[in-house]
Amino acid sequence: MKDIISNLVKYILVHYPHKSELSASRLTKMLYLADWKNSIEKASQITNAVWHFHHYGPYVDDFLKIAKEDSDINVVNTTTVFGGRKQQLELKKDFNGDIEVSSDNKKILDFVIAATKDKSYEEFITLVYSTYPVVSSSRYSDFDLVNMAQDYNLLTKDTPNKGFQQEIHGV
Amino acid sequence: MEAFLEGRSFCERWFYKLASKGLYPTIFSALGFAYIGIPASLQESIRRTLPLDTRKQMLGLLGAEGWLIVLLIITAFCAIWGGIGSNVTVSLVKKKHKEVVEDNELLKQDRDSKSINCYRLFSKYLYGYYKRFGLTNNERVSLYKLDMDVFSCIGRHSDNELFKAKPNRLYPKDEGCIAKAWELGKIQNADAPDPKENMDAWVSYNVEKFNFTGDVLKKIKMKSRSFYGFRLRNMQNDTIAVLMFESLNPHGIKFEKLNRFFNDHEKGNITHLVESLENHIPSLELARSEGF
Repeated sequence: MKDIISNLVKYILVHYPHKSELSASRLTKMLYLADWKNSIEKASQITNAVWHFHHYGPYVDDFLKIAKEDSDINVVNTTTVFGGRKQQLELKKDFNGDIEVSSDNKKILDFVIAATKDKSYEEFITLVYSTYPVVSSSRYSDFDLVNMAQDYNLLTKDTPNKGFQQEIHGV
Repeated sequence: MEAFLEGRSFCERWFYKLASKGLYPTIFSALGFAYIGIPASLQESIRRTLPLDTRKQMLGLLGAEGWLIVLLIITAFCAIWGGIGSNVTVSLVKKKHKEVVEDNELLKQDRDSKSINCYRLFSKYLYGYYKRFGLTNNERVSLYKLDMDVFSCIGRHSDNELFKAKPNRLYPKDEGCIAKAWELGKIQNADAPDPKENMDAWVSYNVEKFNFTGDVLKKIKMKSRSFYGFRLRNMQNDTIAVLMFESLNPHGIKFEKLNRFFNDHEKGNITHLVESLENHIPSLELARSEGF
């Protein structure tokens, strides 16, 4: 699982257009969106993470730890545009290894990247906080994404999921 | 050290506590090795500083060489204790320091973020009503926003910790008091039987009156007996939210007082607040439009 997560993180680091935006927080939430998207579409997560409703939204301890332990990834302490500090993830300059991500997972990650790349951090956070697991849960609980996705799909069965159709199927 | 060891097992706590006391064994081992390393004549001078009776008793137990070996063993043990102990303590402190720095980063990120915590904001706003109407631990006030075909709670206050938590569910548009207030414009009811005396009667009443299902009623933490709620409409006459007061007590909500206070102007104030924060309020509709 560690390898899968490392590869997912590397895929985002390579393909996300605005590298300086990839803070630990944003990257973690992008992986959450990918897990949620896959749960809605395929009734499974792409990672086996147990997502927790942390004080600052969906969170899993291990992602940052795995990224830090990966010798191909640098975790750099840098500053936000408002002068605050953040941890930014980037691939090492001399990285030229293979990134092993299945084609299905690539589609999901591409969808998440396309949906979030033009959003400011605040817009991005509002999107994450608007997802069904966050809206329908209390803080400090764990998310059962697959079960929640079933409930969500029932609730939204009459509302077409336009974003997915456009981005994934090219409709 | 105590704060660092919270949540660890009894054995681990004692191990780290002993390890952290490595300073004294280190000092002892330094003195011990110094004694062992000095010439025998100097060792003898030091031994003579002990009272004669004590020396006699000790020599009765073990010879001078025997005591030297005991001292060597204790000194070596203390040196190992001091060395390993300081290493273990430093690594524990480093680990904790790293965690504290990471938490601090998250806090700074939260502070610097320009995003608005709407749930907290609306809850504070409702706290104003809670205090104005002198509500108690038996009462609660909540604000619900219609989101797709369900109501989500976007703010809530009660002094009772059991009732104030953000609900971990969404509320259907065709079931319950919120749905009734949304449908009719306003509800005002204090006729429910006492669930402590007759739960079945309370369940039947709510099923009949508010179209609740029995399963939902069983899960509800706050088994209220009185409700006062109304819908909030914007300038286009669209219902955007429902404000609901509820109480465990049939006389807990002063309907007349609330009726006088919540005139069109006051309803307009809340409506404007909800509308002005529209873009910041998390909504299923937004997530759905983005494919999530």
